[in-house]
Amino acid sequence: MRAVVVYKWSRNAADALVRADGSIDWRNAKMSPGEDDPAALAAALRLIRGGDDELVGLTIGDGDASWALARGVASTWSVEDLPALADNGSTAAVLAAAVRRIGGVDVVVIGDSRQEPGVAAAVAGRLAWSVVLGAQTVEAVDGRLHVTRRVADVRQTVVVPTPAVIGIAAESDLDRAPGMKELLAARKRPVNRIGLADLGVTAGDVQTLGCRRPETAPARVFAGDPAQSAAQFVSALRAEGVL
Amino acid sequence: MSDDVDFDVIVIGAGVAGSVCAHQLAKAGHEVVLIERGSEPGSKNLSGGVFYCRVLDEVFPDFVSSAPVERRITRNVLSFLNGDSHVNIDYWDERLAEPANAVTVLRARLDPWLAEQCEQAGAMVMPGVRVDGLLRDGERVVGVRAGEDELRAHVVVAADGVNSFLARDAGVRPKEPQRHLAVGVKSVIALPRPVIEDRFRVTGDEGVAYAVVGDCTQGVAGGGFLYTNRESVSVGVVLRLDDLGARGLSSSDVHDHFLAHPAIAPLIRGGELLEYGCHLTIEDGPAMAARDLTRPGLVLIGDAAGLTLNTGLTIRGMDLAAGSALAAARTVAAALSTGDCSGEALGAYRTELERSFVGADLRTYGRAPKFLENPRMYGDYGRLLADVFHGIYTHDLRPRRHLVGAALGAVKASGVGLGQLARDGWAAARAL
Amino acid sequence: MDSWVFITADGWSGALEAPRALGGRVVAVVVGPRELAEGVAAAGPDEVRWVEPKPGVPPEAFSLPLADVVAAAAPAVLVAGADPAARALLGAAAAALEVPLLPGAVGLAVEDGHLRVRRALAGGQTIETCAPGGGVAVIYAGEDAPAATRPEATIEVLGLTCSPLAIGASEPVGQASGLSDAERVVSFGRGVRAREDVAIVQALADACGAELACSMPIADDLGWLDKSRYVGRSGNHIAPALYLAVGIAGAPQHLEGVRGARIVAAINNDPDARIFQSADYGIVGDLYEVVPALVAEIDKLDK
Ligand SMILES: Cc1cc2nc3c(=O)[nH]c(=O)nc-3n(C[C@H](O)[C@H](O)[C@H](O)COP(=O)(O)OP(=O)(O)OC[C@H]3O[C@@H](n4cnc5c(N)ncnc54)[C@H](O)[C@@H]3O)c2cc1C
Ligand SMILES: Cc1cc2nc3c(=O)[nH]c(=O)nc-3n(C[C@H](O)[C@H](O)[C@H](O)COP(=O)(O)OP(=O)(O)OC[C@H]3O[C@@H](n4cnc5c(N)ncnc54)[C@H](O)[C@@H]3O)c2cc1C
Ligand SMILES: Nc1ncnc2c1ncn2[C@@H]1O[C@H](COP(=O)(O)O)[C@@H](O)[C@H]1O
Repeated sequence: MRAVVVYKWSRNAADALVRADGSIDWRNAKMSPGEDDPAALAAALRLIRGGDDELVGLTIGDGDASWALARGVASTWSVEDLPALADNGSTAAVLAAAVRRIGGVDVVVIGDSRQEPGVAAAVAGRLAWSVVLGAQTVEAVDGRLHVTRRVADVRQTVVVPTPAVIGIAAESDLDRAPGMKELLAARKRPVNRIGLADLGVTAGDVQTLGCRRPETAPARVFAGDPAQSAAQFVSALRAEGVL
Repeated sequence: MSDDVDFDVIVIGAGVAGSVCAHQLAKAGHEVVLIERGSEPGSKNLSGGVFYCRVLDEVFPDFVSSAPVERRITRNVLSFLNGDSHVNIDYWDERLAEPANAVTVLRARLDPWLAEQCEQAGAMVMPGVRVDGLLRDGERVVGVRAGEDELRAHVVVAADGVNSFLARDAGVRPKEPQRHLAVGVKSVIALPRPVIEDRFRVTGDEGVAYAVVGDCTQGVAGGGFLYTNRESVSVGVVLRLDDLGARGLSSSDVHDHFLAHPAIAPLIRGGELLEYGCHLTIEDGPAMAARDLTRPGLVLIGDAAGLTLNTGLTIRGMDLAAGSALAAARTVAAALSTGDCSGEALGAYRTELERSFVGADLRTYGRAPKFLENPRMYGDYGRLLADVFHGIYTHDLRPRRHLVGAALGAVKASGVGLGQLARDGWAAARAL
Repeated sequence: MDSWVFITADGWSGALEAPRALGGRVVAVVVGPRELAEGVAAAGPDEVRWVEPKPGVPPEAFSLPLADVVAAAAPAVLVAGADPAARALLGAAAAALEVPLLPGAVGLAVEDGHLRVRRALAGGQTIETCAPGGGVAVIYAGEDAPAATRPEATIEVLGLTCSPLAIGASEPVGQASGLSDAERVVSFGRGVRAREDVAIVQALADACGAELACSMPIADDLGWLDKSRYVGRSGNHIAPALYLAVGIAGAPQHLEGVRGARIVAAINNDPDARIFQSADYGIVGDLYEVVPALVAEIDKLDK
């Protein structure tokens, strides 16, 4: 089994500050992996059972390869000259080209991100592979993948032939800091840096016409004396008919 | 020397001290790992931010132009602050720009840059790992432990800052008495570049540093500072821990009081708070640095060694951190080349340090902490100066007095006494 | 400008309504049971094309064959909601058409003859307008749409061979906690400092006639309530008339669980708490003072 785990290394969306005019201030945003990526990596690692099994990391931008390498990935590929794109389709086209370039891949495991919910699906589309999104676990059984996920109130197992793309949706924060020995081991593992030209693809993006703040009514917030706030709050909820 | 090591040198702490030391040793061809507990170097570090950076000339040939520095300090303002008045000594000198004598820095930018220089020099930078303890073989330090992992090296350099857990673990430092320490509380406030230029009368990449004494600390031994960055100002207070505790004040309240002071508030008006943080710093560096700075296999540098000088008007830690890092790197390189990393060989570090500006300045300023304990520094003198100037500039139709007369009158009224004034003046000259 | 909307599960009303603003034909492609297709047809799109999977076949099994159909028709706009299977269909179709795929869409429009996509960024704090140029695929993330009053569409059955994907096993998750159909839910988070203090919030829930719920750390890390009682992405997805969050920061993962709530109200001592950006009503204050005051106020009502 040759698996590729795709992870994102970018400015943490939770750190984005929106200015009054609607533009985004990224000044204090830290670089971090995507929120679902630790779960995707954990799921991908479970596919690797020794023998010829191999897990390869893939990221775009000049992401931190050691993030995946120190967590058990054998080698990584980075497509370095690609900025973060709004267009999930374009991002996916580059990832799919990289997966082809890596070659011999049976399964791509990727975070099914709330911020970029189109990437995993479009990677599968570009590769013309099967896909299951919103997954929790993936296991290899007799050359097929058993993928679990929650649909409404049931947990179902979907059996998928390879090659396939599996989008993992994290259920909680799984990331753990690697230890010194893992970090040392990571340093010895190969990092393949490539560019769009090597892949023979171009990556356009959609044009943006700017941002503005939404016209939502802000919350009615009461502050000050607790008893008085409580009275105003209760009467507001009564007026809404919910109390 | 045994060969079962992972690295020649393990440096702990990617602050100024650790990064400069790791850089020098890696550049000399040694296998070096620089371990930092923050997820990114600098993420936990805090300085007021004036870096007397000449010491780095020999490390990074064009430090000021290539490193992420904010502004070159060409104006220094010493401000005596009272509740309703202040007297400023305002010193501007174009000569301070070239060669740059002091620059403002933001550690969140500087430290990652320094760590990157280490990487380029061939060191391995290992962020996100907190060292929990030293490994020993008898008396000798042979490595470090973090979680379940151990790494071994010929020499361990502890650059883990003012709280140096490693210095304590090694038995070099006892629990530090409170009078040796101070707490700094600082805000970084964003202001547009043109506002900074107008408000502080600076142009280009030149900047100003205010050192403030008096009402800024509500009587607590310590002082306030305000430094201009490119598009922000760093402003805050440094308060001696024992005095703060004795007066029962909270450091964040004193900080807020300072920022709201009528002399300070207009300087930061309209700004947006970018960062707020507090950090310990060293009050009596000379006393702390008088302790052992080496053990077999171990060297202490920077704040971990107690190397900060608080002169009352400036806090200098980063330059001493860099200076001690250079001295340590020379010592360690020599020890590695002879294969003798015993206590004695590393003991040469003390000599290296004494020979450098670090040792010289420690001797020069050895008296400063004592002088700064003088409570008159934080109250009476600011009032006295203001009264002198008040006497000069108030034209209340009474006959004018000669300047000396006005001053003497003010001294008398202040209750400090002429003899006291003379003694304090002499002490100041000797200490600072 | 014609649009195709991919539907595989409930929660499709907003995605179906959004492309109406473009003025073209709206074609609903439903992959799922007959009732789903009928419900969609009742909302009155211009056409419904229905693929009925055999039992044990997940909707994703049709992603590639359906992409061929889409490629042949080449509609200008493709839409899907957040549902994983619908996104799988959309991804394959967008790749086949080689059009951009934009997430977070909250509105579609035509301005001066050009297609515009408005999309939410930074957790909905700002709205970006994009000009895709040619066609586009979008993942709709806006509000649900009210029930439409349009003539019912006829359902055209689409016969497709599927890829060999199969549903192996299904098992129900979690036990019923009574949260899913509660009218009112009072929920608390780490603002509550000690296990004993849960009683304070319980008293408020009792006074309101509400079910008690919590944020994930309360159930997962602290175990103060059963895991069947936490709300959010990986817990309960609920739609009460009133959701009252006490000492909850309002992480996006938590709020995912209450998207369907009619009124969200919050008590938090931090005026900048994220929850106030999503709430309709709020009290800034210490829950240890505010909650007893609320109980007293509600008790007054009853007398
Ligand atoms: C408010 C304030 C104002 C100041 N103003 C100035 C000024 O204007 N100019 C000036 O020169 N100096 C100033 N200083 C002093 C200056 O900040 C310090 O002297 C300087 O930062 C010391 O550098 P260092 O490298 O020794 O330690 P630090 O910069 O403290 O670095 C120590 C590093 O070690 C890491 N570390 C600690 N423990 C571990 C561990 N167990 N494992 C791994 N990593 C660890 C820390 O995360 C940190 O990165 C000021 C200090 C304060 C608090
Ligand atoms: C992949 C993933 C999935 C997740 N899924 C879920 C999920 O399904 N559900 C979920 O809940 N979380 C989930 N989380 C966790 C989520 O990100 C938050 O960490 C969590 O919701 C925070 O819980 P909290 O608001 O109770 O705690 P905190 O973030 O600690 O917030 C406590 C709040 O209480 C306020 N407060 C403190 N004291 C008082 C007082 N005296 N009076 C009033 N207010 C006070 C504080 O201001 C603060 O806003 C998930 C995370 C990840 C990464
Ligand atoms: N042992 C430690 N490990 C990791 N982080 C720490 C440790 N000690 C302190 N910190 C962090 O460092 C910052 C300053 O710590 P201190 O100077 O000890 O108050 C705080 O934000 C702490 O979160």
